[in-house]
Formats: sequence, C-alpha cells, structure tokens
Amino acid sequence: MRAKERELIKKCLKGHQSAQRALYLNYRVKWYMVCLRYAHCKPDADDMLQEGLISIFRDLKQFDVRKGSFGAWSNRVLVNAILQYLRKWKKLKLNDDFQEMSQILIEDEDVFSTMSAKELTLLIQQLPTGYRIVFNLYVIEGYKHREIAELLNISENTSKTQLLKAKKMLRVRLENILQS
Amino acid sequence: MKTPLEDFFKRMFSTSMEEEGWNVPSDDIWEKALPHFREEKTNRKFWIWLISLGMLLLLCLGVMVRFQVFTPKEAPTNQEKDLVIPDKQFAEKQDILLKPSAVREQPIEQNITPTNSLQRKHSERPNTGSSVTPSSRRPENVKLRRKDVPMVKHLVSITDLSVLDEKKGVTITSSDSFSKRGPSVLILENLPSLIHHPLKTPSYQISRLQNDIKINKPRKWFVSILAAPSFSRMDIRPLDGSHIKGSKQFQFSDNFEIGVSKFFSQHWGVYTGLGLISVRSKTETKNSIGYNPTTEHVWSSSSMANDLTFQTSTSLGDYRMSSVVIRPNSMPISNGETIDVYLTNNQLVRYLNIPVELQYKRSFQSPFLMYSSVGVDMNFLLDDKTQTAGKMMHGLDQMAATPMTLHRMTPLAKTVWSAHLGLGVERKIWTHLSGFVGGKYRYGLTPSASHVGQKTFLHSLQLEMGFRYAL
Repeated sequence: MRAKERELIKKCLKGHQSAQRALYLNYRVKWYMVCLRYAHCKPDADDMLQEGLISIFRDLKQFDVRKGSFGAWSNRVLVNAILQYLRKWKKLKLNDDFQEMSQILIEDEDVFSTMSAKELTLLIQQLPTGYRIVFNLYVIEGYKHREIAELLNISENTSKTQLLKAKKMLRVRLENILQS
Repeated sequence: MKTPLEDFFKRMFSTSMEEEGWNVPSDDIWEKALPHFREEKTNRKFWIWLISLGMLLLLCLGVMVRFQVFTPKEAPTNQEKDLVIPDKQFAEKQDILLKPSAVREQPIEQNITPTNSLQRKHSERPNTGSSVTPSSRRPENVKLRRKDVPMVKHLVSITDLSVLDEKKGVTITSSDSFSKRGPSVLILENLPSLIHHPLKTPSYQISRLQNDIKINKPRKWFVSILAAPSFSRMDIRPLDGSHIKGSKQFQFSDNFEIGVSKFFSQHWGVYTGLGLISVRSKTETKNSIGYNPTTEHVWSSSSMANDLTFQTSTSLGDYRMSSVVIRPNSMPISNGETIDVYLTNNQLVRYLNIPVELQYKRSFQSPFLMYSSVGVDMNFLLDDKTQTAGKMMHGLDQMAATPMTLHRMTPLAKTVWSAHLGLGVERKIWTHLSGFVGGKYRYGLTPSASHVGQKTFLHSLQLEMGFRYAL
C-alpha cells in the first residue's frame, strides 16, 4: 500500500475531515462505478454510495493493512453495504427456476468489445435486480456460486440460474441495440 | 471456469476508470454522508449527556424527597413547644374547632390514659367531649371515623394516620370538602387522649403538629395525563430546489403523555413525563421536467418498448425521494415539452418524548387557575413508515404514474430536541382532580422536521388537554 494512502487512513481514523475527503476523492470513481453496476438507476446508485461511504468510514478501524489493499477491502465493504441497502428496501428478489435455463449461450466477447464502460454499465443496470446482483458478484467481484448463495441466502442453483438469465438478457439487449 | 464474456466484463471493470462525468458522484452524496461518520461519537456523547441528566434528576428528586421528609426538625426547641397554643388559636381562627356545645356526645368505650407530662397537661384542659377508641394499637392501621374525632368539623375519613409516625409527623388527609382548606387537620387539644401512640416524647409530637398545621397548604405533587393534538406548518429546504414547484405539506401529530410535577411553592414547579408522539404528514410535490432526451432525467428503456422513463429527485422534508415514472410510447412527447410529476408522500413517525419544563400557576377566579410553562423536549425515534404514490400530467393527459421504483428516506435523527412555551387554564373538578386545557407553541428541530445534516425548522401549535391529580 502506498505510504501516502496509509497516512491518509491514519488521519481518517483520527477524524481528520480533510483526510476523509481526500480518500474519498481518490476512490470515488471506483466506488461509484460499483454502485452504478448494482443499481437500477442513478439515484439508486447515489443512495448506495452514501450507505457505502458510511460503512467504509465507520468500519475503517477494522481495516488491517496486512490483510490486503484498501481498495479491495473498501470494495468488499461497499458491496456488503449495497446488498444491505437492497435488502432493506426489499429489492432483492430472486426466483429459483434452474430448470428453464438449459440452453447454452454464445459467448462472444467481440460483440461487447465495441461498447464503452458507460454503455455496459447501462446495460447491466437494465437487468432485473436478481440477475444484476448475481452477475456483478460472480463476474466482476469474483465470488463463487456457493459464496453468493450464502451471501444472498439462496441456493447455489438459484445463483447459477440468475447468472445464466443475466447473460442471456444481456445478449438479447445487445442484439436489439445492434439491430436498431 | 470463466467464459470469454465474463472475462471481458471482469477486465472492463477492473481497470481504473477515468473521471468522465457520468461516473463521478455528485458532491451532495459526500456532504450527506459526512455527518454519519461522526454519529457514533455523537451518540456516545449523547448517552453520557443523558446519563448525567438522569443522575441530576435523581439527585434533585432525592433532595426534594429529603426536603419534604426531614424538614421538620427532629429535636424541637423550646420556642416550638411554646407554639402549641398559637396553633390552637390559629385553628380556632380558621374555624376548624368545634365549640364544646356543638360536640356530639360520643360513647366512651375506652379512655386512654396519658402517659407523660404533656399528655397529662392536655388532658387537664377542658375536655371537648369524647375520647376515641382506636381500632388498633398499631398506628398505621388505625382508621378514625368522624364520630371519633369531635374536634374537627366535616372530617369524614382519615386515611393516613401517619400522625403517629415519627418521621412523617402529622398528616391527616380527608377526602371531603374540608380538605379544600388543606391536607392537614390539627387535633391539638386532646390528641394524646384520642390515640395511644408510641411517640417518645410529647414535645416531639407537639413540634410535629406545629409543623403540619398549615391550612390551605398547597399540594406539591401532581400526576398528569394529557392528550395533545397539533397541526404544523413545515418550511422545507429543498435538496433539489430547481425541481420544486407548488409543494405543500400538512402535518398532524398526536401526543399522549403521562407526567409528574412537583411544586416548590404555591406558584412554581417543575414537570417531567413520558409521552408517545405520532407524527403523520402528507406531502405533495409537483416536479416539472422538461423533456430532453440528453438530460439525465430522461432514461430510455428498451425493455419497455422505448417508453420514456422520467427520473426525478425531490426533497420532501425528511425525505429525499427519487422516483421513476414511465410514459408509454403510445403517448408521444416532443423535445422541450414539460411533463409534470406529482408525488404524494404519507409518513408516520413515532417518537418517545421526554419533556422537562418549568411551570407557573396562579389562580385568577376560583375554581380556575391559569398555568404557563416553558421547557425542552427530548424525542427519541421509535419507528417510521412511509407510503408514496404519484401521478403524471402532460398537457391534458393525466394518468397514474408507474409506482416509484424507489423511494428512500434520509436517516432520521435518532434524537431530536425542541423547546416549547405553554399557556392554559385549569379547573378543579374534584378534591384531588382537575382538568386543564391549553396551547403549546413548539420551536426547533422537532420530531418530523429534522434529519442528519439538514436544518429544517418546524413551528407547531399544539392543543393540549388532560387531567391532573394531586397527590
């Protein structure tokens, strides 16, 4: 970890407001991108970020330099805060219908590679909540289905279903966009 | 094993992003989150404060109780002994002694012989008529009847014979109209012969009698129950001021409270209690959104067959509401046209209320008295509920908006302070019971109007009515 960042965190722990702001400015894009991916729309992302910031700065004393980078730690805290937010507002609804999803999807990265991060984010945002959360957790955060199942209190099959459906829906949306 | 698609997304979002506007959060978010970082510390401060306040109140209560119980001197002076006769004179002046001729003869079942000099002294004086037959030798169980107490007019029942208690001294209470003169009735002359009691010295007994002979002695402790509905006007400081047009809010709250007051003098006292405040508010806002496909307020959704999705953010007092309304593609809208979104928010917030106030009472026309109060309230958030609904208008088209896809409440402050001024009239209904009606003006960060990081002021006018029972 960079010495400057470590110094900032120390000052944050002492309650220095300027250090807190500096740390926020360093990470705000990264954090906000995470929120945008999990949110259905921008105001949702704003709210998630706010909840996430509260969690990050409140739990900062639990951050252990020896256990990893601040970026990874804050990302985990942020994702947890987002999931809590979704639970709180009852937006986290998942359906368990693994049987329906038996078809194999075409996985062609070239189709997506023409799109910008913003377009991809919008595409993810348009997914239903359950698909979006599982997609983000599995594909981007790198969680295993077993971990997702524990985290969201669902079965592993549900997690797999949601992921398949998410990918299928992304594909359909993309085709619509390309056709239009 | 990750598929190419998964790898692609992973790579895409793992690389650090440049600030491009769309991925930069607004400063509002930081400003709103900031107060929460210090909340924990503030909470700790608050609890320390609350505990200190509680201890102070307990201390005050202890002092008050001690004052009440121990003020009578335990060792009477010679001067106090001499005051026996003036007391009697005073009692006569107040017309609470029956003339010997008016005393009904009572059957004497048992005379108790005075056991000490003072009692003998009393018994040597002209007897006013009768002696009493105590129902028990144990003072606290003795109950006198009217016929047993010929010295006193109108005395119906004597419920507290703590007269025989060393610490409490003489406190004889009655529940009839006589007690309007005061809670204590002095039986000076033949008390020693009325009741056989275990007091150590007669002089002690006399001094206690002296201390308690206070006709018109004001009652000191009161228990109150009250209901207080109120109607409030709220000044909203909008978060998204540019979107607010024609917003209005009505607020109705009710407060049920039970409390206790202690009067230090005839006029001045302090009051504290415990109340449950329910604040119901209805807020209606109108947001006008100019249709422009490039603004962030208009999002297009392919899943909805290119229906237009309008996104709005509004401040509703305690709430920062974000909502999405969908206008079907079948109802076209041109660039630059305005679409009005009306949001209605019904909110119920409940608080535990602890008032501390200074009260002033003054009688102006019997049996009425006027009271005024000034104090502060601590309100502790119990729970809150909200329900939102919306409609959309575009030109002449009016239709129910798609229910909000999200609404979010800004965290309400866990503790809210307010100050109040009260004025009212009280009327005696029964011996111990009185009813009161008054008004209260509240100011400050009152229950429904504050949230962390925002200063929203609320003025409210509260009607209060209730009953007060004198102990």
